Amino acid sequence: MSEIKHPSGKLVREDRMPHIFCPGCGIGGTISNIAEALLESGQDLDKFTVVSGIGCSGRAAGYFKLDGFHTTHGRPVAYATGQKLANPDLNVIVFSGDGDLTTIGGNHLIHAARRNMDLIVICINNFNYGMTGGQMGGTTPTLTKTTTCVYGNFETPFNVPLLMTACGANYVARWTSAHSHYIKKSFHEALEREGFRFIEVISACPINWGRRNKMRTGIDLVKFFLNQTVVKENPDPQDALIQMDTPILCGVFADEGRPGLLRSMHEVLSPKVKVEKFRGDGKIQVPETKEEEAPEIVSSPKKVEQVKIKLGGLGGQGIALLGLIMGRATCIFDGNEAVYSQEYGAEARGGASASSVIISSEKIDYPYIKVPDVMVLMAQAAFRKYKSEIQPGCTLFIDKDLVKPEDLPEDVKVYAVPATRMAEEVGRKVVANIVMLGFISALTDYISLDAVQSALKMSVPKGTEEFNLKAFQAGYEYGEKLKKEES
Amino acid sequence: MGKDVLTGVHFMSGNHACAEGAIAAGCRYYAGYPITPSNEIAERMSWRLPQVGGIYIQMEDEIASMAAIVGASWGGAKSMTATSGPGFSLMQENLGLAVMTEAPCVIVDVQRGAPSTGLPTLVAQADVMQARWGSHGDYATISISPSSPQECFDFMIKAFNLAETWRVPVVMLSDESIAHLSERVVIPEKKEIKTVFRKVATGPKEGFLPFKVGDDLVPEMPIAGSGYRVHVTGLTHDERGYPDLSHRMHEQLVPRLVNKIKQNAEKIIEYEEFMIDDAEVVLITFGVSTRICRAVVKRARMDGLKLGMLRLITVWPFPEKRVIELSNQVKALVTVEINLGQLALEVERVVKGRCETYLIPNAGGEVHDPEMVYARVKEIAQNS
Repeated sequence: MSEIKHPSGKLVREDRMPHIFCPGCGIGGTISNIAEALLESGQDLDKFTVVSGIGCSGRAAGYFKLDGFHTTHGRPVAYATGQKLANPDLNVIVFSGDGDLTTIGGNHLIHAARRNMDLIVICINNFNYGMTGGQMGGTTPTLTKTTTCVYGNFETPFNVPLLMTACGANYVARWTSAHSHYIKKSFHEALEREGFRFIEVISACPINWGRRNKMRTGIDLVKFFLNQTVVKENPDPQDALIQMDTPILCGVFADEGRPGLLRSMHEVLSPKVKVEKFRGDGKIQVPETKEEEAPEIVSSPKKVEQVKIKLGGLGGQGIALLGLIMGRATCIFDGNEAVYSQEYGAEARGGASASSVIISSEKIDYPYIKVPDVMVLMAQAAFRKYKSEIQPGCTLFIDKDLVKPEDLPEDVKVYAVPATRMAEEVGRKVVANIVMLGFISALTDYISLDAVQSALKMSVPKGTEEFNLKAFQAGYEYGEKLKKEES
Repeated sequence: MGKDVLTGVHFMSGNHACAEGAIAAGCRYYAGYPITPSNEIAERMSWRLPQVGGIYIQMEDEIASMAAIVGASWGGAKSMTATSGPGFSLMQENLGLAVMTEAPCVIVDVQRGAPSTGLPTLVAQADVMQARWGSHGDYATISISPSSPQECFDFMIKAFNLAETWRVPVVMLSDESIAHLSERVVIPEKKEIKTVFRKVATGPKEGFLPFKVGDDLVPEMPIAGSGYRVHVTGLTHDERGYPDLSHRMHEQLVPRLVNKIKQNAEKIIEYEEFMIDDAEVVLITFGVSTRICRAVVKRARMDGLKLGMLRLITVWPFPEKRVIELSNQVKALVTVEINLGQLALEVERVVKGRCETYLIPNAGGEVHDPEMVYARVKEIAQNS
């Protein structure tokens, strides 16, 4: 045995011979064709990987003397997508079967074609699941027999070239395992292109498919392929459906030259972010950039008893931002603890919603509010929704024009400010939340004024800081005036 | 080029902190599929990764996402995905591939109410057993669980370091509550962050055995394209990586994959103890429930009740040794978790009746009410 050498021995794992393929099977020959083409290409073969799924063709990854990855059933295209994007220097070839790629893996295949993922996919189509004993699949021709369609297949198979061209694959070709020369030629063409390149090889499976369809040997199938196929220039993929009594159309169905995903990614991203080439070793060199000054925490934060603040309003009133500014002010600038959470749910959009902030000098364990100490309400709908949570001792901050509190329990202090009206006077209704923030700041002392203003500046869009501070100031002054009147 | 470590003080949600922790840990590849309540991780990664030369790709489903991160891992990147229960179910197949081919990667599972679509926007901790046994066959991986946004940041670094050290998928068991709470997150200087990269194969290429191991049972990893020309398969394989579908080989490979975690468990396991020295009753918990249990312990101590807490940082492997020690010391161990009893099974298994064991369950949708837990704990303390 040892003196018998494989003609493509440099690229085939001779220590794994004999291979598992049945006599007459087309897969081994196709592996040889690809191996020969790779050797002819003159490229650095260390940079080629083969990824396979499960099935007879799925074993291909184990016979190429390349980095080979034998993955899970249907997933080699997804796996290969990860490998190629993580390491763009690689040439990643997916070599797998029709059941693996088009049936269980159909979703990955169509999406890889759609995104024009930079992969070469070799799809061996032998019309059935050979490894498991010859069951039908998504490519079994109508009326032919397999172990799970013994009366003849009543389904219509995929027209694979049509599927791939429709999904946007850059390069789509079909040959049969009897067309060694064309397979190699197509592979060379694929190597010269980028994006998603797909080569379907209609392949002989005499043991499991041919035997049940009156073609018992490999020779029978090769004869069938040679008699039945028509090789055309620019064939129309619409005509590529495989039926037993019509010609099997072969050729190059698509050769588009669209940019591959990696190029598209770089073209979109590089004007916006400076993307350096991904090195793939997890050790990216990040050039030094000018450090933005990190805010300083107050060294001896002032003592604050735990205070639970619930904020309610309608979508668009900036209730979430209001809570977030309070949290940032407390945590980043005051050096105290704060937990912020939002009533969360896609279905909550549109109606009244709330967020909560808990402020304390101590670590906060339970992060939610059952009975708020302070409630800030910007809309009557929110008042209705959260009224039951208002308990004696609660302090209420409301928009004077938009909230009319009724039936409040005893001992609830209400502070009202026409926040929305004042925001309109400042120039824009959207800053009503910021007017409210200023108002609350004047009447409470659990967040320092400097902290709130610093947090406000970092939380609003660049260029609107002055405008927001003006709104804040208006609310603050309104609160100060109220405080004086009260005392 | 943007900064990879955003040194400074932030007010950040758990999900955003997970993303920043991953980037600080050196993650440069993210593949995922949108699912509530994990989306803010993907959103932030799609924004941040390009800034640091990394790749974000949104795949067609979670099966593809998991396959892609295993592929990226063998491609040489530190890779991750994030999901929630239904997506985590879909990932189990290729999580098994990561186990079998020893591909380091991190999966964040932001737990939500289940089974099925359940409560998409509300908290649960019911994927404990799925994190341990979700894929088919015998295997051992690592799961860690944060209880605050700060821990989301810190534990993502831990998760990547564990994945890279032991060459296993690591599950970050987050939950909807932690994911959406915002708190102070302090990100240290880059030089203070310790990151680990897998042992990379550097030896001679001729005759290289990609699955040969030393005492730590972890093989050197040849990065795809580095010239080793290895074969990697999800089939049972020998040291060469070649399929060997025999009982003999399976008896070598699978125990080795389990033992690399089991045998090194003491190096991997971390937990936190609170008021445990004189405790007569100890709460066992993890993740967001830690916060509730800490509040309950503080409250109990004010009343003179000797309550303590063992909080698991590493949920898997389970800290058997410590739980056995405690079972010899205390009257009762009480598991508090947002499910109907998953970790509690593990506690019972390990304790073997040495002390009383109880469960305070919660089907999910909200965290435990501390007052309810305290009332139940008082009852338990009186009866044991």
